[in-house]
Amino acid sequence: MSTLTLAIILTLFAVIMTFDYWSELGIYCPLVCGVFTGFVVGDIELGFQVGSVCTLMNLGFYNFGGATTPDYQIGAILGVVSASKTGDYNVGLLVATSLSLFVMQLNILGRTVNTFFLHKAENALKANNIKAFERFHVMGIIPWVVANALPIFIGVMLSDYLTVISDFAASAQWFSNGLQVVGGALPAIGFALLLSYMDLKKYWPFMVIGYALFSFANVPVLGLAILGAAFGYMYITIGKKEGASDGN
Amino acid sequence: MEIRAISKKALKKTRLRHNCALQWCMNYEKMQGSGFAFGMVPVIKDLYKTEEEQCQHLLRHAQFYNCHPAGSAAICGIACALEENGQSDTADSIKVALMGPMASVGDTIQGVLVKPLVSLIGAGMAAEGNWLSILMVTLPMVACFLARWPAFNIGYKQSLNLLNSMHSAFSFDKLQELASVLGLTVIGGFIPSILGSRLQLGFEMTKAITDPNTGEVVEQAFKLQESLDSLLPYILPILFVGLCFYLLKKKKMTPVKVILIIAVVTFILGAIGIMV
Repeated sequence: MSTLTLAIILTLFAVIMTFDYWSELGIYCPLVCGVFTGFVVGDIELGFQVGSVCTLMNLGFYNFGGATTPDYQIGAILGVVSASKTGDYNVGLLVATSLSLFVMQLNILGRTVNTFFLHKAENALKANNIKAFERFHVMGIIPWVVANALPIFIGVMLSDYLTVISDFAASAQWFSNGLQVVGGALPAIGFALLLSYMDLKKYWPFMVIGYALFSFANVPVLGLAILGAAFGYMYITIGKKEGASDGN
Repeated sequence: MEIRAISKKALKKTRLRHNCALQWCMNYEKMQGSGFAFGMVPVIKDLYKTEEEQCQHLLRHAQFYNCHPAGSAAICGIACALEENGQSDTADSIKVALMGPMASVGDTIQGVLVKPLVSLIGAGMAAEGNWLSILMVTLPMVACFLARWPAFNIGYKQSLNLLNSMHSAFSFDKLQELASVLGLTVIGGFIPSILGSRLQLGFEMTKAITDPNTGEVVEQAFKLQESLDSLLPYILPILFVGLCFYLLKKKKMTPVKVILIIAVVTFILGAIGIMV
């Protein structure tokens, strides 16, 4: 597949993704974006790997009250493309991380440009024109589409030049070693960010339980989730009895 | 007196518009303001005759507004019921009064309970190349999306009564407790399982040891990682998460700053071979 075809397919996906960003059906998720891109470039395994790491980096981020967060979705798409073009997974992660942070800035731009359509829409209402108001409100999504589609189109078109980085990484062992450790460490921030929202003082023992279950008994993901749900239920029901005797 | 009623069709249209297009013109100035008014158009058209009147009322609804979409669907339902009763002023004040609390309920359910949990479990499954991970991350979000329809209906039917029944029927604390316990159990296992193979010390030393039986001097490789693992398995990932947590929570750094610091530090550690 030529780079242009790839860029067009992924740009169209970016448009769908933007509508989903504001409707939240789950497509706007680094994992889905990564696996879709993996499917398009013909390496689904790669899509799962990059998508999984981007999802972990994205863990603690949620746009509470409409805050902007790093765009790991776009990062996952461009990361898979880069990894597939260069054949170097670590270059893919480098691209994914750095572009996620960069594209976030475009997101802010999208919100600012959007006020143009807002003012048009408000003026239409003041001029007693509902049709125009509706049109301008719907057009408000254009800056968002551009903010997502443009970086993806440009990013994919430029991805052929990334071999500069991967060639360098292949020749300089220290460089690729460094990249590899960065890729391994970044998901730690996702975990830490998520933990910072939780009441660790109250619930820390469950983290220790989870750690011990994996480290010493090799319990898999789903097993941990099932045990966690059981612990949670026990916590609520046992806590309730104690609370009732205290309260009444 | 004039009889005011909203047709079923208009109500359905408003619900659909609100649930899908609320945030399409999201902006820093009025946030979802125009989106709320956009949703109200069919209802307002039913209630008022002239376009001048309609636009005046839509302008009322286009004021600053920001909420979680599902919580907002309930508010929109209430607003429709109040508009139908002719209580426009109450509709305006209830929007302002409820958008904060509804946003915090919606954001907590979706952002603190659902999304991190499904991302955690989904990412773990995806690392193993499991296709079900896609369903794991999308289906719960679809459920959150579809919840906007019943939320709107409840808001419209119960109107102001919803405020009272919300406190009694909905045990939000319990749900949060369950999710905290479940989430931390999973995170506790995930930190070593996902980061363990990626974060390792590369320190290697060779020691000359005299074999007690033969008296020969042999070179033995000594890996720091192995002795660390025998001390406490996966201690490095835990320390790393701990460091990030410290920077975020105690040092109050922004996540982006922490990402940059960790990236630079780990790159250097990797480049000079202390970590592999």
